Amino acid sequence: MNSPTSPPNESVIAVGGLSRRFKSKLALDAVNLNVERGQVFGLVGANGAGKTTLIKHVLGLFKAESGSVRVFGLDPVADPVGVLSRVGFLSEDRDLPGWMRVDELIRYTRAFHRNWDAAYAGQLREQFQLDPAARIKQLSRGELAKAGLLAALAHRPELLVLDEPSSGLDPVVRREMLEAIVRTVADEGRTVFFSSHLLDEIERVSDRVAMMAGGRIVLQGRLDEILEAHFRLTLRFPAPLRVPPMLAGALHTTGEGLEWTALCNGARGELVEAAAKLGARVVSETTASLDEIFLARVGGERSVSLNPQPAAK
Amino acid sequence: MNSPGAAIAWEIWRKNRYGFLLLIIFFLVCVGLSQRARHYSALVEKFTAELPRAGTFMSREGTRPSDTRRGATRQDTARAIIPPPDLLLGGEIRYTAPPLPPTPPELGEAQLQANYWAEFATGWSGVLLGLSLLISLVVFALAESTALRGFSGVPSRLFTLPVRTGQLIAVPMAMGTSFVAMLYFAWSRLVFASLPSIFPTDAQMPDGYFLLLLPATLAWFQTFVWILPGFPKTRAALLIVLITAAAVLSGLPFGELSRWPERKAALIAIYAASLVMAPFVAWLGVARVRKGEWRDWPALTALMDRIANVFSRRRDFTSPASALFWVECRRNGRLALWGLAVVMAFIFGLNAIALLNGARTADLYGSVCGPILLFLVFIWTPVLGLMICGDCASRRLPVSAFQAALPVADGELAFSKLKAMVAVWMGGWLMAVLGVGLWAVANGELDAWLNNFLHEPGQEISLIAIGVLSLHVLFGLFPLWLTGRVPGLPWSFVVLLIAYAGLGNIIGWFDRHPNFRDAALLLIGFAGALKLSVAVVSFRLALKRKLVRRGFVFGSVSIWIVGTAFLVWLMPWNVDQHIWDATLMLPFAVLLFPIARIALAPLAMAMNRHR
Repeated sequence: MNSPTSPPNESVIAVGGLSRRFKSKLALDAVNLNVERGQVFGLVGANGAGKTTLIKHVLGLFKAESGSVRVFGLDPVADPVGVLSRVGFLSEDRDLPGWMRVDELIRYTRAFHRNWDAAYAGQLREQFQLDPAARIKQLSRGELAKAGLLAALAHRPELLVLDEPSSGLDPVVRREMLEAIVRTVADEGRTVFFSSHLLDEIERVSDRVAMMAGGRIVLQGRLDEILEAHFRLTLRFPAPLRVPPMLAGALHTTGEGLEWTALCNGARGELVEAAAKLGARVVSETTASLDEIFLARVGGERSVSLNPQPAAK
Repeated sequence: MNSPGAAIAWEIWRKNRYGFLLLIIFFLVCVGLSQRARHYSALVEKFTAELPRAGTFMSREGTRPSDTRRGATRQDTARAIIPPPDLLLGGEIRYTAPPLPPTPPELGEAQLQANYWAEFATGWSGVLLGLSLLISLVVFALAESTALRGFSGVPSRLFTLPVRTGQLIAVPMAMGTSFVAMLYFAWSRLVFASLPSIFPTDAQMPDGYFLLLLPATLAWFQTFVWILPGFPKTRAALLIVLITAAAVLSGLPFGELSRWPERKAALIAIYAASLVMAPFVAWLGVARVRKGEWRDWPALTALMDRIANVFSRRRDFTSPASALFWVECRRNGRLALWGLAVVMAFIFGLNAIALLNGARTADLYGSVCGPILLFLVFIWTPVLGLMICGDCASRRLPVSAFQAALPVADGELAFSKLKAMVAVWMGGWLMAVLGVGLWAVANGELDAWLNNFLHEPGQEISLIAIGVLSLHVLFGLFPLWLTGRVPGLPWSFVVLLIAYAGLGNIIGWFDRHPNFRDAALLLIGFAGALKLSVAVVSFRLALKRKLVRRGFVFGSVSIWIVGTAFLVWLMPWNVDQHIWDATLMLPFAVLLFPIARIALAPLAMAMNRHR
């Protein structure tokens, strides 16, 4: 059995050429992914991009139609006990049994984990202010997420898998959840694999990021490298433009009239040259946020179409 | 669709279109059966009335030439006994001269066929009409379920629409009551009117009675569902009582009540009044629910919570298996036992009313034990099997991510369900026996009933046979349900009942046709071989995929051997009591105890968990 103190570059999740189709919809299309020990891996994508499907494959809740999934080097479908005993999971649906009391949920979950840390569970319960006698169905959405996180964390899993952990939660609860996750990461190099469409959250805690769209991974890498590689140029054209200018090297262009902003990935010189040919000059140059990169990579076309250009005067 | 009413009506249709399709299929099947029964009944009447003349069948178009040669009418008679398919499409029977008179064996055969088809069509029509009415109740109740909070009343999303509460109530209630009235009328005219066995005399179906009883039942079913979403247990108890009462009241016209005409008038008046009252009660209740009131009774909820806390789990579990067993029993078993207790209390209540009206306790043995046994075996047991197959969080058949992500083997999950199912089933039987025993003690009839049970020949064997049947029904379509890829309640329950009714008919057919004994033996042998082969292959596959341990296989096979040996040992007594064919019944005993379905369970659970 691997321990959390194993070499940091050991692969915890290895997904190779994974594809999955639901009737006519291709939910995952040849996905390749590698998560190493000690990383906080953020999975970003719009609704329906395939994040939950990928996570369910990692947990063995879906069987790979083609390709392979290995967690700790094991097949999660063939050996669910070997994999899941080392994993803590918080579901997007928060499908905890509503009829249980909080203390019953803790006892029930404890029965399945030999490494259950009762003191840590008690500490989390107090920190999350969960009433042990309260029924799960009487909890608020935030409390429900906290109860789920408690059950996922208290056995100190080597891999924490979180599917949209802060979906629908207020900023206070989100902060509490993130702090608990960060503490887990700090705890002897454990690994966190989580999906979210809240990019500030991903940006705050992730080491590595993968962006998904239409069942494919469109961008993957270290967060700092991704942020360094992308920048934003604001260009001023001599005459107003009706449609976004076609600029070589630009991932995405927004704006109207005389001033347009282009987001590019490394090819700065190429873009400046292309702009110069159109008579534009660079007004400013800033680093891009993860939000902008995501929009450029995943939702670029949509954002342009949602902001129709006014007719030039 | 330019009005809220039309939109609600469309939603009911769109959401339940397969349910409506099923109702049409049930209806058409029973129309066909009743026409067939009518044909044989008419044939017997003709044979009896016109003995000098035998019949030959001619289609309406007259394409089948009648053979008028002397001596040729034997075949014609046989042809009339087994009618060609176009009879159902409008053919008619003509009798041509000069025929030979039917011989007594031919008349006897026709009589046998007529009785068989009348019973067959009546039985199936009763079952399928009952199911149709239950489906109608579900369809028009509008309730939706959520994993966390169970079944809703009127879905809260409808409360956010700019529709008046009166309209929210009126549209589904008007649709539902009209629908069940039309449904009954269609069955009455096109199915039951053709069945001579219900009313042997010239009596008619009591249409007025049912045309008020059924809509009133539906209206109150809707009312209870809609006004009590905050009180799920109270609601479940009231709904069970309502359905059981409707079933009992539906049987009254067919019973032998001496004062039926005057009681009928009083009951019709009560139904009419309750049909008028139901919309008002529903409107008042739903209006309060819509305003956020009637969510629960705080004092009662606090009391229930205190009681529940007394029974809450305070000890740690010793193993994952004990945790899984607890969760299955706690989630589904407790509710099943609670439902059984309510129905038993209701049956005892009805009998208590009968006692107050002068009935003798000695005569109530059948009216206490009969309904309890019927409910226990044919409703409670299959529903229990279905419920235990449900997920511990959502109660639906697909396993939830919470349960699927637990670090236990698939076989362990399936085994915990098996254990819980058998434990709760035994608890149900114990409750029934204790309940009947207490009733007997309370009425001073214990000695008489025990005497009746112990000294009446075949009673104990019959009870064991019912127990074995109940065990078979309990496992029902267990592996299929465990895959989580079929609909749950009520659809799977309907399929199960149809499957068992079909099986009963096959057995009955072989019972009536002793000439086909060899075929029956072959069929039993084939079924036995198939069952054991499936068990062997499934166990091997489950072991290979490490879904189960060898101990599970060994335990299951041991229990099956012991159980089957017991049944085989018991069968000679059973055969003697019922004058059954020992050559058939001994191998048949091998089919009764479940092993293939147990072997398939871990594989089915794996299909459910790893989709």
